[in-house]
Amino acid sequence: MHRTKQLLYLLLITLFSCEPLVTTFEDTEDAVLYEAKTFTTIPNPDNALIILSWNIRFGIGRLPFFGDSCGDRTVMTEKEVLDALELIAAEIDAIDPDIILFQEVDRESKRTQYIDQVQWLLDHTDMNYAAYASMWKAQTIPSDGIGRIDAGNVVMTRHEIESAERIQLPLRTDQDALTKMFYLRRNILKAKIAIPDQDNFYAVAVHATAFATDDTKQKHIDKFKDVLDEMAAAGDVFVAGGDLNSVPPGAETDFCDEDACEEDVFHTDSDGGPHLEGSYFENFDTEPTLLQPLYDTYNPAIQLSAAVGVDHNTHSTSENRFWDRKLDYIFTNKNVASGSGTTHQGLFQETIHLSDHAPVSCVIILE
Amino acid sequence: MKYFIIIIMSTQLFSQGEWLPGTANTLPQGRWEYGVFQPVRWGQSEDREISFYKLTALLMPGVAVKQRWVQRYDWTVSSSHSVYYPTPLLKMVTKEGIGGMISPEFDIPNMVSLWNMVLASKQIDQDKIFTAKAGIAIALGGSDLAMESTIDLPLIYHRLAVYYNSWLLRFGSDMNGRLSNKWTYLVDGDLFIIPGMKGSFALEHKGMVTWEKSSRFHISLGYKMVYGQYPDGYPNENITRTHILPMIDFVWGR
Repeated sequence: MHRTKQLLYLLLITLFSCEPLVTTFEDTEDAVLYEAKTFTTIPNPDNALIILSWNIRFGIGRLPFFGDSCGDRTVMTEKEVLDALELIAAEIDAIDPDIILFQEVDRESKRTQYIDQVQWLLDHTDMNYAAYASMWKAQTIPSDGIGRIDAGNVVMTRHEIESAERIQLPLRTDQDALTKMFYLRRNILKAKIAIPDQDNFYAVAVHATAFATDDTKQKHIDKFKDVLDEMAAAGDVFVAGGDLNSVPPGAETDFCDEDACEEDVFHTDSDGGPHLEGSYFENFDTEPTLLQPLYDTYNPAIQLSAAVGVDHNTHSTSENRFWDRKLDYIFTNKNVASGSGTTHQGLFQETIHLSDHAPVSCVIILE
Repeated sequence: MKYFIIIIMSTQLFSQGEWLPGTANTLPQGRWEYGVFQPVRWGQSEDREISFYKLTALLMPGVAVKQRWVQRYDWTVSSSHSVYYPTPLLKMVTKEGIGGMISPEFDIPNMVSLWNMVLASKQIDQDKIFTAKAGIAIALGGSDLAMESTIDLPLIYHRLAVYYNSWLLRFGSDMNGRLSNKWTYLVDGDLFIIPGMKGSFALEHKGMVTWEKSSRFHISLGYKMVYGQYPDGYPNENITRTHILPMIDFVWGR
């Protein structure tokens, strides 16, 4: 009997796992909160806040990552990542925002030498607080040498974050079970920020699916708008945005030619397909106008009439090609200061090298 | 694939006679033992044992020799010397797509490692043997290996570290005992120290019980706990993690 008990205890210990192979998430759960190593003075908002949204491509600049840009690398060196982060921090300092909505930030990833980029950016800019919500977390991704991964969305601000919530977005339905298990779990990150004289001020960061060929993107945008609508109905104030991986209504929808790598095969069928994943924005009927409800309901950093122009493109898959489509947006239920909406395209040798997305900023009026 | 690699690498756990009878004692002359995961062991003479791995024979060829030097009163002292060639295995997992544990951007050179260990066993009483061991491993040919190509997983990282660091130290102790006529146990601890490298240590502990159906067949069941330091980035250079892994083996002898 004694021996049986010993064996049972042994079995329990054996089955105990300290950390899941792949982390899954509840529909809603608390986000991870951060503070800077040293605080900078919190400025008086002076009736206005500068908001910045930026997909920083996990701090690798334009290095040829295998997952995009026809690249052939998976793991960057520490120096490469730190050099890229230095340039990103310099750009942030130049824009001087009060709140940043980041996408694609790594913190415990083999590909970026395990640098906690949330903490690094807090400690190397004037930002004081951050909230983090992972969209891809696994002990190891047994493919292409990716290894350990933890990447996600971040809200970063000079002002204190009172609470933050990670809201799960629907998973893709166009993948096999194994791929789906190890694939991204995208989310909306909603952070309540203590802005003086504002009772319920929220910053919301989102990164919608890029490569889905089903209607997952529709679900992501719908959910994003639902979250904003709920806040608006409750009388809350918000700034929201991120990489929506959608072009503005009226913009070009087919970038297969521009994005094709040497051996890509596409546009071979009579109906025009197949298309390159992530390069085609008409996978379902309503995809080209996916963002219209957001434009109809809330105030954008860049008005729709301007958003379809080349001056506000925010993405290109190669640094050898200037920004050629707009994927990044900011919306708010406050007023945007006239003319403040800016797409920081830089000169050809500037932001084009910092990420495959350009930063977008605006000033919102608190009243 | 992750578990396949762990299984293959964990076969090295048995390399210095850790598994029953993982002591300084050698197998009796002419006796063969072979398990699913543990190496084939052969009592080449009364004081020498030779072992090698079936699972990794082609992908990571290697052979170990345990030589008994002293057997006096309750003490037995032996040394173990092993050589491994991991290049084919590492090349196999350096690939695009599923199964790629190392990014294909890295080159895997021809490398060889030599593991040398001294083992001293003392008979505590009729049913218990305590073994202490200390050793050094050195590797040749790894100077061109990119540090970014490490596989940062338990059991694997600290064993492959020798190829990145050129050398490492290993210490350990085992307690083998008998619970009853048919049941034995093994409790051990091993410390890997890799001076000068990120993720510079791992403390491993194993607990196993073995059912001896006869002198020809054993079944072992247990766990392996790894408390190890792994490479990290800003703000810390290293991070410690704990893993518990199940272990099972079937061993035949003749």
